[in-house]
Amino acid sequence: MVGILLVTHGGIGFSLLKSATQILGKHPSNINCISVETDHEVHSYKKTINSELLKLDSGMGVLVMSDMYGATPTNILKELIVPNKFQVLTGLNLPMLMQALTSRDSSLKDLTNDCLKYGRDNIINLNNHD
Amino acid sequence: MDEIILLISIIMIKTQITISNTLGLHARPSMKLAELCSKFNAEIYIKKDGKKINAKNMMDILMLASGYRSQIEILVDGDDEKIAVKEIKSLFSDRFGEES
Repeated sequence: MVGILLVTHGGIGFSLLKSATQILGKHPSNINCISVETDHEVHSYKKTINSELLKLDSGMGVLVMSDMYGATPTNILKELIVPNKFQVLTGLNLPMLMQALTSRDSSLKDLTNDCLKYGRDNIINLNNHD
Repeated sequence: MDEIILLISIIMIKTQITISNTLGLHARPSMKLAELCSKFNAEIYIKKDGKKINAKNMMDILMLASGYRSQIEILVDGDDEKIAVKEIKSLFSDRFGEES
């Protein structure tokens, strides 16, 4: 099972996980959230994230999702990317998370690509939609 | 009413369903339906408005945005297709356990 780590500003990751849990009807396994607060040392987060990645990796790798490209949570993760082991997606939304949580047995590469697709496909301007 | 379609060597069960729960196929019912479909070996698809999706993927079901009274078609093909159709129809007729 691919591990999942949400690294976000404040409680965004926890809130999304709470909503996803309600939809799933059970708490998913092998997932965790890290809240990045801007008044904390960036260096301490690197240690925490690294340690969490190792815990979550059961051999199939870890998909890490952060909320906003260019912001601190994502910038910290940029240095931690290990191809075939840890993949990082930004722009976290609930559809991305739901896809990740319902396809845990896919390979890390496939899961990453699927989450990217569903995350994007679910951004819709209803005014221009049938 | 179920209809057996014979296409050369392919036999598939095809059934029409009208969504009867008032909130439609929203997140929880989509999850329940995908979970149920994933239990079966059969390939299961849903057709709506010209789109055909894999019924074992919750997000694909959700993105059909099937509201109250909308019509969908379920296509089931595999060794356990009969029991799959029976259980799927039952889930819909029970309105996903949301309404009495």
